[in-house]
Amino acid sequence: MEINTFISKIKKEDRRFLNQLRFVQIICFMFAFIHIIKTIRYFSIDPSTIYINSIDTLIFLSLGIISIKIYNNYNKINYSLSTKDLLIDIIKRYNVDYLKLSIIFSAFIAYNIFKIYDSGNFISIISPIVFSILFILIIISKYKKIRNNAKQLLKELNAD
Amino acid sequence: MNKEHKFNQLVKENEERIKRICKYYSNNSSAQEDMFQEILINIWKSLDTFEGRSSINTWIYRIAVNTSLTFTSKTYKRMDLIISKETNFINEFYNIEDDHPNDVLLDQLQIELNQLSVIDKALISLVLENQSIKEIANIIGITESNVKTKIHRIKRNLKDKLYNYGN
Repeated sequence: MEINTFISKIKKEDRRFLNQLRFVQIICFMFAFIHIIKTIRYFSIDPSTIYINSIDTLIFLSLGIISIKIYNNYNKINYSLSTKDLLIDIIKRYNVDYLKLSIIFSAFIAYNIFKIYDSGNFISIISPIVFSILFILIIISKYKKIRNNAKQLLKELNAD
Repeated sequence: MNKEHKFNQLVKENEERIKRICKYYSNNSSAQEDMFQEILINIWKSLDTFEGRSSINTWIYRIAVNTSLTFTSKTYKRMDLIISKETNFINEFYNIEDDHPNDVLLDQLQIELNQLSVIDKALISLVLENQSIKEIANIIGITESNVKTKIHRIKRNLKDKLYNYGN
């Protein structure tokens, strides 16, 4: 492959991914802003709505902040570290933060599905819970595997 | 010098070396091409962080070795280390003086190399690249004595296992 074609290809890929993340950030902060307005507006009409609207605002703010973190991390990947330092970096990168991320994201999905299917029947309550549990399990198993591989390699490196 | 120019120059100067490293990890030309591109992507991504503290040689090898340890890949534990009669410094791993091992010895060496752990394969690939103990220590990030011990152990094991095949 011609090197200039290759450069433009990877630049395009980088741009595409970063644009997608930017889009997610804009949507999240836009919805957070809408919910702040909603919280203030409905508080004067029905003060009990403050809890539900505040949760909405917090969820969108959390997702916005997480997407900024992913955006920054993507730009910080450094394969030129020594293998040992890269392994330590991977272990840190795939730590419990990602578990928190998956839990927040799953809670967000579950909460919204609850709201949409708030008909009171059994299936509408169980299905979002099953969905979120599955989502969490997939994320945990994926990251745990990568983290364990890195831990195993690091252990092997440190052994005499 | 802008990033594109720096990248072009780096790739131009190290293309053969990177391609040679790719050959260690696969004998399939399409897989080699994939790995070559993966290394280039990682060079591109890491280019902004190159501060010249380590030599360009060490920097390139770090990226190549780290890319070869494809942590997210399901197949990383089955990563092979491919050698051929043309591979340099291959005689480091058997006892006979002959620079051209017979096919049986070569086949057995190939089998034994593929039994090595991922880290040991990475170390051997650097030995085959004629990297010094100091350079390997810099690339991998462990002490020189640790590198020395590991390489000595691998060579001794291989020589023991291949003893009967070279005679």
